[in-house]
Amino acid sequence: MGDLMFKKLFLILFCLAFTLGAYAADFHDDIFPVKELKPIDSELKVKVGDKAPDFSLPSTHDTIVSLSDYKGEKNIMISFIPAAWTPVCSDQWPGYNLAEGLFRQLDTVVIGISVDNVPTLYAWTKQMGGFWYPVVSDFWPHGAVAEEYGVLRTDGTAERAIIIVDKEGIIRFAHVEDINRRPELEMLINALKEIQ
Amino acid sequence: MLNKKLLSRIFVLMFAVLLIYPATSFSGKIPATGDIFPADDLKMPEGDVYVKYLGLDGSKETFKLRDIKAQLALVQIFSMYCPVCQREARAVNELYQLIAENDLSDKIKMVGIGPGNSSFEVSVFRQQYDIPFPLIPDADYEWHKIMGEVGTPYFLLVNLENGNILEDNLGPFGTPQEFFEIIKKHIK
Repeated sequence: MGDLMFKKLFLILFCLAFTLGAYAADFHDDIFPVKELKPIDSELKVKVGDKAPDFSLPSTHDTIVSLSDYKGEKNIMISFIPAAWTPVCSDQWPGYNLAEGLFRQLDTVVIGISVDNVPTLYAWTKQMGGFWYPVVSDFWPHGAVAEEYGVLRTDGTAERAIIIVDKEGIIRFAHVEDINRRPELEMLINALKEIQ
Repeated sequence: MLNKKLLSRIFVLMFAVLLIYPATSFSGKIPATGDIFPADDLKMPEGDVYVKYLGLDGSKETFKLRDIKAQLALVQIFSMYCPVCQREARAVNELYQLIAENDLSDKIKMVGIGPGNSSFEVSVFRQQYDIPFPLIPDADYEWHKIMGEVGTPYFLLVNLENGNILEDNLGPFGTPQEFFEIIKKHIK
């Protein structure tokens, strides 16, 4: 068994890896496979009753979205997600599209925040069909808003966290979900019902 | 006699296989055409109308797919969070209507299983798209694991006489009429 055999075996393995990767890409819309991660890797710096730290971040629609834009008008559900093009995140925000009616009934707007840059978020959200709510980029200074809320993980991604802010700008619900799972929708809707 | 150089190469190859394998096959096998549909318990659908539609004993909390009173079952693995499932929901409803319009509702039953979806999330999906067939929540991902963590939507046509999977389809199934014709071929 010499160099030739080794090269042949390596080629077979390479082809196998490529084929399996293509299979996944075909059916999971180019989502990057992620293994089980440490459930929570940060410590919240905000709590219920606090005034929500304001932010102004660029959106995928080439606008600047500020939390204070909605003060006195809407409740806000801030949804931090870890990263674009990853499995659970790609199966979270589309659900908030489906639940648009529920959020509207509760006079609530979702703001999706990711530490990815705008072009990445633009491509990713477009691939998912777009959303009725703004998606904003906390890319630079990297993860500054996530850090201020205490949901920036040590690897530079954000937690899968939900912060609900009432019309007065006060935090009424703060939840950091296991990064490997979605926060259950009923829990979020119930939290919003409680502040009506 | 193997020399050290060759042994180190074999080790590198084995390591490469291990790197590839967990990323693609860490869960169970995805049931597909020719396999037997898993005999694990499913939660009884919420709502008498769905229990009656499937011909089940509503006094029980669970059932097995083969308990359904029909020749064939079309199982859809779906999620309310899945954009493709959302886009395809109306086509799936059309398929249900085609089955009804062709007087095959007694022979073909449809049922959805929602991995990672709670009862509440399943109800949001049902209400949004007016889904007429039973949708079964799988909040703890038990069926997700049983189904090899398959992507959604995934459709399986099952012969209820012996549990054989007759057809499988990952992703959109083309037009409802085309998929209906495929299903119809399996009616005795």
